[in-house]
Amino acid sequence: MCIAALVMAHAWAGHEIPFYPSFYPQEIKIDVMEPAAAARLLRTKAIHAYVGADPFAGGAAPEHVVYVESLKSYVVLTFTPQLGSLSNVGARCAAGARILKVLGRSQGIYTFHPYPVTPYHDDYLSHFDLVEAAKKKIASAPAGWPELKVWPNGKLAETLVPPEWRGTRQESDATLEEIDTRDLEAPPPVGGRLPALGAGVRTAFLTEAGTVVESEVAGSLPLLSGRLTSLRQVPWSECKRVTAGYTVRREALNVEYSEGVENVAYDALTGLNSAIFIRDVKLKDFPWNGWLRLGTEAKPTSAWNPVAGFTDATGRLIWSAVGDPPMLPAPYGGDPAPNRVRATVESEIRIPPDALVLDPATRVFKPAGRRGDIARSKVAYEVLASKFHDDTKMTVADVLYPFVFAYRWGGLPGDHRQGQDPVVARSTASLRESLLAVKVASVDSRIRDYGDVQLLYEVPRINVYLRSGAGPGAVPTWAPWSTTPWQLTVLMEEAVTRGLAAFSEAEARRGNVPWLDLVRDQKLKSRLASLLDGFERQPYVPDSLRGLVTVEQARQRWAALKRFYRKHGHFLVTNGPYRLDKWSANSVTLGVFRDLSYPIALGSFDRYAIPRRAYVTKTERRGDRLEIEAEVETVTKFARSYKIEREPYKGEPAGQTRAEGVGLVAHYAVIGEPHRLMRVGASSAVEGRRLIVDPRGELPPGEYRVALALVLDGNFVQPEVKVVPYRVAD
Amino acid sequence: MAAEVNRRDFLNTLGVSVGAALTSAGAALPVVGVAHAQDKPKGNIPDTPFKIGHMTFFTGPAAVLGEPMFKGQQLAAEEINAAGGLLGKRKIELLKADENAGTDANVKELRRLKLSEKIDFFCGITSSGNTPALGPVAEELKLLTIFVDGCTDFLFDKAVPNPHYIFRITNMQSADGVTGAVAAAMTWPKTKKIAHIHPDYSYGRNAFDHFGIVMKKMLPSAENVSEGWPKLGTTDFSSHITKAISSKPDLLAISVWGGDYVAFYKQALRYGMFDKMKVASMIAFGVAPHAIGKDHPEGIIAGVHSNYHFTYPGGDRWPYNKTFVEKYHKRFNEYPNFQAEGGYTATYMLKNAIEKANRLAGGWPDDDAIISMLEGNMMAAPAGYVYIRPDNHQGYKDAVTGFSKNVADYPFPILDPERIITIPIRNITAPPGWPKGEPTSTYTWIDKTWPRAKA
Repeated sequence: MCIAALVMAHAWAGHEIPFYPSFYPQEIKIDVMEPAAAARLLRTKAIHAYVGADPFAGGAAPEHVVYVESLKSYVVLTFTPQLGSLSNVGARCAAGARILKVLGRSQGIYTFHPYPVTPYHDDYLSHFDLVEAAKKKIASAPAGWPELKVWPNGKLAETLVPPEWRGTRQESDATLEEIDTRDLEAPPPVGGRLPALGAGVRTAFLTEAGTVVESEVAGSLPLLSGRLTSLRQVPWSECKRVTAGYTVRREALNVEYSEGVENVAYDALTGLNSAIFIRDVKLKDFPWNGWLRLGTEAKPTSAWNPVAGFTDATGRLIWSAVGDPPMLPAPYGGDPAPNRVRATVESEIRIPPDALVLDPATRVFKPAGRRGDIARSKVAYEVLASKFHDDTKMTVADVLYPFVFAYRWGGLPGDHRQGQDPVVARSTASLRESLLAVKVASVDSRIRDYGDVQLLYEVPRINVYLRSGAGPGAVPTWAPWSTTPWQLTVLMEEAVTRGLAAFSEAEARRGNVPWLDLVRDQKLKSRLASLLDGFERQPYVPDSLRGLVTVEQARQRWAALKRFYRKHGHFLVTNGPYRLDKWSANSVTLGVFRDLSYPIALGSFDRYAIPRRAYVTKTERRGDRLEIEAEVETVTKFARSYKIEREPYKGEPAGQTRAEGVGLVAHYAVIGEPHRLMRVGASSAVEGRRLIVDPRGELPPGEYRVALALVLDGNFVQPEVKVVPYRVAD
Repeated sequence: MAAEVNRRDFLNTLGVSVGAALTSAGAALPVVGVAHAQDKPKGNIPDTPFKIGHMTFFTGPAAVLGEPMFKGQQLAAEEINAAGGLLGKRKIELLKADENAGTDANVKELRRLKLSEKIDFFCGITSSGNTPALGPVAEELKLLTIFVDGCTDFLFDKAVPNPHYIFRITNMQSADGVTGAVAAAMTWPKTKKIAHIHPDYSYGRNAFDHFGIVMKKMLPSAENVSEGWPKLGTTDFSSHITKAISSKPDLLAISVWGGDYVAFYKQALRYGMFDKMKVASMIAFGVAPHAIGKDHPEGIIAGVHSNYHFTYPGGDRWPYNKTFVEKYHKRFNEYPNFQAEGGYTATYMLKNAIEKANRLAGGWPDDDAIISMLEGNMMAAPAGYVYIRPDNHQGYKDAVTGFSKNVADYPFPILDPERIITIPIRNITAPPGWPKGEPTSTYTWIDKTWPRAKA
């Protein structure tokens, strides 16, 4: 059972139990407010942070307010395609270059950057030469604004477009506008983004949506190993859309000695509106616990359902605390951080006869049998189970049901029958295309032993067999995981099947039904309660879960969901670190789920607070190798504060074991002429006080440049790139 | 049946004092710090680094304890290295390991540190879940060890009843409950009704047991009128607070700790709890000085842990503490907690034992020679005199508690300098030769030997 057992036979726990489930704040209150109101409340220390625009923009912030910065938006110039004078690619590119040259002289919050991959993206190094080339190209463009009218869409654009060249939307040749990266990054909660892309390329692609087709991206995938550096090959929209630069989001934090917060992590692309912020932020007056008060700018207008809801900014923030993903986006780039699953990959595996294959038509699991099919890869998952908020224990049935759901609402590839949801289809496409079989290898027990306090966990081990290839990058973005119990998913499905609601906004509009809201739609909740009564009376077990769930277990599940609804007044049951306790039109209160079955402890993601950087100070070539001397930032914590200092890198301290992703890594990109990316790689090899990189590989003789950037503890953001010449002799 | 005595005589017997200076230990003792020139060591001393494996919490909630523990040892090592190293030759090299890896991983790491990194000495450890697991392994590896914390009585009562290589410098857990009770009985002798709130695991039981056995002796007419046992992970203490208030006690005894205690007192303030009863905490100030807010109520008995709070002994009364606090604050920009003092003192205790052994036999002493010098060693440390008992390898220093007070000098409450309560540790812990007892030796010793005060 996923529960702590308190054994008094050996009374030897200390005053400290170094494990507290869930994260620091015991309560999170989120209030929607205008920036001006946030400024007042930050001044009086009544809130801890404002997730939104800078409330002190244009003025001075109080001393106890600091900012975290993340990529806010792209500034893009989009040409009106049907205009004859701009139908020619060359004409568009030339006009774009002249306009960008003018924009490049602008001062303020806009940063001139004529390339879609920015220093906030983890694949920046692989595009660094192209960024520099793009800047040179703009610099060499003829001066002066071309004879074009540009419609400035939005306040920032209005400050950038000279008045004499402004036009209306209808009459203009092009549009200059901001595209907020949060809108680009808004994934449906069930997962499913473009797989295996570097962050920059992914957002670049999304920025270019409608101007570059997905096949151009996908088609370039095999060109290089590693991240999708091959996007360099994509003819970016043929200047239909030109990236002019980006803006940085500045979000305010109260760090006052007593009433402020510390240990703050944030996402380089989404800022404080991220799962990592919720999982690290700590109140200064509390070693743990405390009441966190947040302001947000956006009214929560999207429906609250865990399948395709929570799509607005406030909804995403709420869901990042209530839901729990299998992996967390690494906040400063790189591979996702394990959260509720751990994965290892093997290649070329025969699918065992007792693995389960899901029949897409009937959506029932059947044994694979002795056909002996070979999977390109097997991903072995350890699933960290826990209790759901309705006090039911997570089981294998909960882990496997999302596969059934994916086929039910996503359909077969190319199948567009009615009864599917396009958002679910899109977000589960990767799963449905790559899944061959699953096998429940075992359900292990794990113990955390703190003397007389022993915490016992169940860890299902699920093997997933895939059509796609193996390798470190082959772990799919989806996993055998569900943050909601199967009975809630079934209840939602029933509501959608009966036409009471739709999972996604798009499908709700199409079907003229409400967008499924488990919390705020009283009429729907009443209908769900009636359906729940019926399911409990049967008790209902979905065909796909027969053999995994007994009738008695199903009865208990339905009863637990009913009890939860009666107690809390909503159906949003998850196994996440916070539970929805109170809500109104403009406010939400989340209570911590300090249940001892929750397997992730406060402090688990502390390494992401205070991101550090490293700098190349000297490079020396010895043979094929490049030896790098560096300076690294060190953090000294004291009382309720810290300081960052820069000091020479002294190599790895002797005798210390290092967690994965921690330490100094030299990343490099070998560039041939003209702008041909020959090789990318990373090295953590150290000799003495020097990092060692060997970029030689299979490079043919010739002149190259090696772009170097140092990543310290997984921080890819704003690297200082050093370019050194590298010659391979005949 | 133990005799009845007058309560004032009882306190005199225990040697309890308020605002007292430290008693003299008589002859010259080794001290912390390397301010004065050291004797020239005898014989040939190698100049190879002396490797110390330091394992404590660098991540997770207990890092608020672990980081200062490491800093304390780091400060001592830097001082010793600046003066040439141990015996003037061997520089200390600290190897860090994160205790947050879990008990099994910690055991593996300890083995790795000894077998692969060839550490000479092991130090640290915060969790009482770890010392009973690591202690036997250190003995098996023949690895000289001083645990800074991991204060469970279980370590030397049961897990390693006859230690050879391992020592521990903190006081035992039972001292927290005993000290809190003695202080409460002395301060509020008219207490008749006591409410309890303790965490529902063994530390809470231990505090409850030892507070109770002392009260049985010192305030025999007092009765427990309410018990609250918040489960691990409790954040809403309102039911425990209202239950305690409704029982109309004179005194609340509480051993809730850390962030749980902060959540408790902030909720209790809303209920006016501190206006309705006296409060004796075993461990309110037992985390780090900066971990408690200025809104903490004044005048409660605010227990410390391991009998150290950086403000005592204060001023010029005890130069070793004044110097230590100044140096620590200058180096790390914060005030030391009990773990910092423990890490610092443990390092100097080792240095002193090495020097003594060298004076006897010359050259670099072997571990047995160092051990024999540690056994029975007494030194003047920041907290006062620290004594390592030879029979159980346990460090002892006089118990300290006091009353919470806000002063302008610090952004957090401290112990009221005018009302510090100290108790000689020998008077509240089971002596050598006392048979192992349940729940602890100290409990049975108090139960069987302390007189009962007249009601």
